[in-house]
Amino acid sequence: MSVPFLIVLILYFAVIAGISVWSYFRTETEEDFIVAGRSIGPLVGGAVLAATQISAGTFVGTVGRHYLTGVSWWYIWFGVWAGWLVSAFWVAPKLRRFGALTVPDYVAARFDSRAAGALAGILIVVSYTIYLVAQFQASGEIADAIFGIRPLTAMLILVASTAFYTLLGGVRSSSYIEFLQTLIMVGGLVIAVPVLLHHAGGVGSAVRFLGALDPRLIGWYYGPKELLAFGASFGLSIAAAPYELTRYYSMRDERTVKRAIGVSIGIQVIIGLCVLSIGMLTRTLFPQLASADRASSIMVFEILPPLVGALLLVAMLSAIMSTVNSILLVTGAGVAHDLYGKFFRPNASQAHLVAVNRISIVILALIPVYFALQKYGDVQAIVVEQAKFIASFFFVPVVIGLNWRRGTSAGAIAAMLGGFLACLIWEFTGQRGFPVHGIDAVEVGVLTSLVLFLTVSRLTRPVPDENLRLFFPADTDD
Amino acid sequence: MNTVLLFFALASSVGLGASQGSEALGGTLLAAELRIVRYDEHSVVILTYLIDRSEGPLVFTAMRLRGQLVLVEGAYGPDLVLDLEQQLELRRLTAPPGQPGEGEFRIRYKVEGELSRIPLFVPNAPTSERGTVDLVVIGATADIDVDAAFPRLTRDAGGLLTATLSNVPSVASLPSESDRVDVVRLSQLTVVLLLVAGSAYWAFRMGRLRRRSPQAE
Repeated sequence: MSVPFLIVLILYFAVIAGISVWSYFRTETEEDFIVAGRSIGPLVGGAVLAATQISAGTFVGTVGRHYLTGVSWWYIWFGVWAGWLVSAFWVAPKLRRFGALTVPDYVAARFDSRAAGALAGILIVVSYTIYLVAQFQASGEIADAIFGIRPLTAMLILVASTAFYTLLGGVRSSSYIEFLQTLIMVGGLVIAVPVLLHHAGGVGSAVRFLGALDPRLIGWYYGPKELLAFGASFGLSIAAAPYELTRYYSMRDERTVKRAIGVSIGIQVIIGLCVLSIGMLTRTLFPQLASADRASSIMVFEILPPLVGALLLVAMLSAIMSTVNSILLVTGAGVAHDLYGKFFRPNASQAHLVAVNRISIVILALIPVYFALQKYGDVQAIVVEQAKFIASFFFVPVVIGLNWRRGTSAGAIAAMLGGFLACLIWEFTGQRGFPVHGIDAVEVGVLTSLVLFLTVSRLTRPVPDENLRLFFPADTDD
Repeated sequence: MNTVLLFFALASSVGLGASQGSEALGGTLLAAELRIVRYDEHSVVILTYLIDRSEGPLVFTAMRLRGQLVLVEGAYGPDLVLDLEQQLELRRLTAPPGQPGEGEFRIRYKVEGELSRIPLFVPNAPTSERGTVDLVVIGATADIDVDAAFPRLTRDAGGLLTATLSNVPSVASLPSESDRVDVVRLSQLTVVLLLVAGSAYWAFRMGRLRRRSPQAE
């Protein structure tokens, strides 16, 4: 590794350590740790939402996907943005107004059911542990390709460094760090694209070569059915993604949340276009990589000049660390606040709960390492699968639950369990016939969840009015 | 929990695979030497590939660049000659069907006209994990701007330009130092400016926060 790489890396970790320590001394209560004292503004908030979503799935997985399949993968972003808009109008304002600490808090309060809240907590921990597998696997790929470091070593370094700032300052430190990480990601990508274009001989030259190599690269590698399925997976899961929803609680008010979502979408448009360019230009310059997931590492180490490569490397690490951090905050809170604090030690002190949260974060950070070393699938595939499961068990109870007052606790539990199981079963059975029938597991999961939610809710006792008043103004109809 | 995690992992391996058709590969690249000999008015390129051939078709593909004439002088493998096909945007050299196994393939061609970008024939055989790709540029290299070249080259005392890569690039970009727009240098300068500006802004903001109340965000 060259000197510029080392300098930029050391500088980056030094700044992160500094912010973490600063935040540590400002974190005293569980509210400080989990929601940063509800002090985050729209610009930092928007950067946080973007950084949370933009992960190894984008820098490694999406770059690799564009490398392999060309331009058509880009259209799934519209599904993502549709999910954000659903969140902005039908989810975020009510959740922020409710002002809890975690998303299972919402489930428990909305449906007047500790069991529903606990189930939500468990499913979140399980699903997001899978998401972490993708992040760790990507970090292993990057470390192996660029530094020649064994994947296990790289993963442990990632766990240690991310857990360090997560443990110290919770959401407060992660918010400011993610603001910095977003600037690095956008800056790195925007600087890298012209360099790649220059080496590829310009847009025209690259497009002509790629088209001759495989016409699908500049056309339709994926058909409408597939794009709809992938777009739905991402969009439906984003609308109800706990690791994003939980960030709303840290923002000042409802207006701030909506503005932050707008800022986040703007950042994603830039990142999406850059990642598309990078994937396809890397294919132009190195048409025969053994693994598409190597495309971003090859770009950093063998195409870009040293300083720009170092910045992109830091951007990739930022993307991974920000998402790992957000997931650990959610899963740590899921264990400490939603399960331990509610069921085992309801009278525990704030300091005790914060300590349990920190211990949970360490344990939950280590579990995915084993699975990441097995490499069950490519990074983007794991991210897509995780999105399908989140959408299947969470979209309906969150989005429909916030907008239909007749939803009951039995309906919510049936929707979560039914959606999760339907998606899982379809993945191993009907999904193989997707090229023929075009029905994806996410569609089966969400539809099952919806049918169960509506049917079971109608057949069971309504939620008490005092719970509904938190989410529905007095004049809202069914 | 482990069982559930395993189900997730297996599902993810099924998920995206069905939606993509994979291209047939010609084998695995074990080693490659890419030699570019630069003269004043033309360049000669000699590519040597050691490939562990599979049963699929083995194809070498190169870009066609505007303002350039490429004359393939020889293209052969073990006991075989490669067939040349020229399309509008690329050239293809295809090996006739043959026995799987290791073999050396050599391609020699002359490039005239635009010499700042030299197309390279890339085999449909990804490099093995231990494989290396060595690029060497010799001859009239004094005017080549190494810092702006692709792939990243190093110049030795004798003027030889070399690079050791993990994969075969599709083109070698060898700009001269007199080229007006240096995108690569500009990009490096931008990074430095960003770091300096970012640090200055951060220092300014921390100073302002300290001058205000200690509780201010």
